[in-house]
Amino acid sequence: MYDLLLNQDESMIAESVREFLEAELPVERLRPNAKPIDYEAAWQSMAGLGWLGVGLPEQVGGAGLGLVEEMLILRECGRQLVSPKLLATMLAGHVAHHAGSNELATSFATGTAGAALAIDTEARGTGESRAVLTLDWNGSDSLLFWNEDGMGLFDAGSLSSAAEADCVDGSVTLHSASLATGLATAWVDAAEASLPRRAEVLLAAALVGLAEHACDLAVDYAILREQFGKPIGSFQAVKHRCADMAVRQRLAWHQTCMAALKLEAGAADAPLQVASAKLLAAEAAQENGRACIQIHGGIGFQAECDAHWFIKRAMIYDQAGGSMQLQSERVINQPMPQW
Amino acid sequence: MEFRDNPQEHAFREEVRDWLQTNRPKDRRPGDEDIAAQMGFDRAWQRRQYDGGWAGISWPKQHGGRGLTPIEQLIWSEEYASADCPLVHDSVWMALNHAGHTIIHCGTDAQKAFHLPRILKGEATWCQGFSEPNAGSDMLALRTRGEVDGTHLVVNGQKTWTTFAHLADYCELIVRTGEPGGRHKGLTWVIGDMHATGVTVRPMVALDGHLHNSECFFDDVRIPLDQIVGEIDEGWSVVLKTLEFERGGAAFSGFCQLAVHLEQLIAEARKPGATGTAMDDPVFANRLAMARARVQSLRALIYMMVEAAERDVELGAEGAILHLPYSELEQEIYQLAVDIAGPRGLVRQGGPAIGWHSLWLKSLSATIAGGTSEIQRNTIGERLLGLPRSR
Ligand SMILES: Cc1cc2nc3c(=O)[nH]c(=O)nc-3n(C[C@H](O)[C@H](O)[C@H](O)COP(=O)(O)OP(=O)(O)OC[C@H]3O[C@@H](n4cnc5c(N)ncnc54)[C@H](O)[C@@H]3O)c2cc1C
Repeated sequence: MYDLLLNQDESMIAESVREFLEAELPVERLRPNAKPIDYEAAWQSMAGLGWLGVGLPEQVGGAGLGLVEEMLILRECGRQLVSPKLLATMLAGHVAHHAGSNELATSFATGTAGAALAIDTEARGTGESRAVLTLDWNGSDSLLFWNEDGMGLFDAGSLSSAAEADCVDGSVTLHSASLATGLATAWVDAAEASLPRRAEVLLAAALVGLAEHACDLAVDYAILREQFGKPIGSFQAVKHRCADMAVRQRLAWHQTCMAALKLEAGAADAPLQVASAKLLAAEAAQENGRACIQIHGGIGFQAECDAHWFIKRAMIYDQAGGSMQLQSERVINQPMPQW
Repeated sequence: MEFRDNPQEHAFREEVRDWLQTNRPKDRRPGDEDIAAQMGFDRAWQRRQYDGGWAGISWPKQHGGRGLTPIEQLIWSEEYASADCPLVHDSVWMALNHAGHTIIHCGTDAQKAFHLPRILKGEATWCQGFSEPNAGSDMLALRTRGEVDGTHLVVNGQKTWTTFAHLADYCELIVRTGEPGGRHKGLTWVIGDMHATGVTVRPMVALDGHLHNSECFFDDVRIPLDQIVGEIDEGWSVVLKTLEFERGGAAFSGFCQLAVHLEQLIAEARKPGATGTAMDDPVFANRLAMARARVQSLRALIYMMVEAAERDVELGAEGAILHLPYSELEQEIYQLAVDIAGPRGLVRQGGPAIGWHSLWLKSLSATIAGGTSEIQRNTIGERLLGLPRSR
């Protein structure tokens, strides 16, 4: 039986991650006139708290826990729009570990090395040279890239014609570049470890976090803002929109938990569960992100209001690891699931 | 959060599967066009489950049930749906999941001794007399009167939309014994004998052409006071008990059947026809994929709820989430089935045993019965999210 209810330890982990991020990296940091954040210090703190290696074995500097704990951390990171570097570095540790580079795995687990996501812009292509978009890549980080064959790490040498591009999500730096996929410094075949599926579960968790925060902001505003002499949340058009947000994010979350457990248990229907999770989480984050802006009215359209960040980041995480379109094809092409 | 590969659960699943394979009804369940025959079929199937020791799976053993844990109840529902066993939703279902549970928790010893065995054996059927012409979503506006006269309660008033009232032996009758307009105060939950003098049932033809719901008139109906469940004037707490079961494990069996139906639909959509397969159509493929993903997610929600029940964790308003997405998904899946059927979907035949068109027509009530989607959204908005009340 799959037990999908958080136990006490798991709730404590989630709580502590949430508290840290609310204090150190709250979404408010992204406002136009917010006081600058020392991102390097925050990164070191997160590494020090053991987040990066939480799912890695202790002999490579990890905490020896699993995908569930990684997922709980990513959900909170989604809530506060933490850089996708965190997800990439977590996964980079797994790539290094599976590829037998314990030293490299340790450096990812302890945060002395970092990794950035490289999103394939031609999801259905197969060439050796891929047009990619990197997220928050600083030039020295490793790049994390995956496709259906497996997942690998790359250094700057495998990139050509890198150029900074303007991202729709202004909180993320984007580079467009060409990646030579034959030049991986470490590569793990999908047959050996289902790291691509793991990445999708973690992206789904981050998307759920986005959906949840968008809902929270919308509900808070619906209680606070008055028009026609009443809180707008007493109008059913607003209330029902909020109820739909709540339902979407919960279903996406429970599905993400199911996907994580099935993946770890090696269940035959794990691919279906993972694709369903990524699909519904992307839908929840996008729909909730849109609704959050709508419920804020005019202020929702302004940069100073936090409402706009969620749908933007949702677009990025939807594209990473295969968009809704691709996930929906996967869902329908999988065989019938058993109970 | 974990996967527990529990050998006892496997063994239990095997046991259920074997029993259902051998004992499940082999004949087709009569359709809604012959409700009386359907009722006979359902009662016989219930009796067979009783004889096999599988009646009242969620009921405690001391009341003749099987006393299954929440996880075992879910496994039973899953295997039941996989074995293509008929849902006996309307007639026996109400007795087992509504009335039975209420009597177990709130009834007197005499009520338990009389009613529980009859329900388990499929000998007595029940209907739910809550809604009235002027008390639907606003159920607390109900006005049907109950006046104490010596050893009896004298009931006058009207209930409506009462499912299977014309075939039911007993009614979960909610009457106002206290002040008129008292909302949840002064209600009484009483066992109404549908064969008593003064009860008139007028069945109504529903939009699918069949008899599902009735209007029920009560004219000076005399009900012995010992038929009251719980205390007089304190019926609201009993109503909450009744509704609790409707939302709990009893909903799982319907969900499991929906999940099986969707997989049947997907298999059908892959079958080549004159112009290729329905799955070749990207719009159908996408709708089927979304429905499949949503079924998985509802299942995940149910697993979470089952685990909460297993561990005695109080979910509160969180438990109110299931009904809304489930009823809307039910509608989408059967709509999809008739859309895929195309012009053939206009003809009332074909599809699985019951027929897609019947399921589609019936599904139009899914977002009304048991609390409309609008009321569900109000509840989620107010009770779960803390938004201000609309009224
Ligand atoms: C197939 C079926 C079987 C049923 N079986 C039974 C049964 O066995 N026993 C029984 O007691 N009842 C039964 N019912 C009745 C059911 O519970 C009611 O139909 C339901 O609660 C709605 O009440 P109503 O029909 O009076 O609609 P109304 O309450 O009049 O609602 C009409 C419309 O107004 C909307 N509305 C009402 N109030 C609000 C509000 N506050 N905010 C927003 N929108 C609102 C509703 O959502 C709906 O769309 C059954 C109904 C159906 C369809």
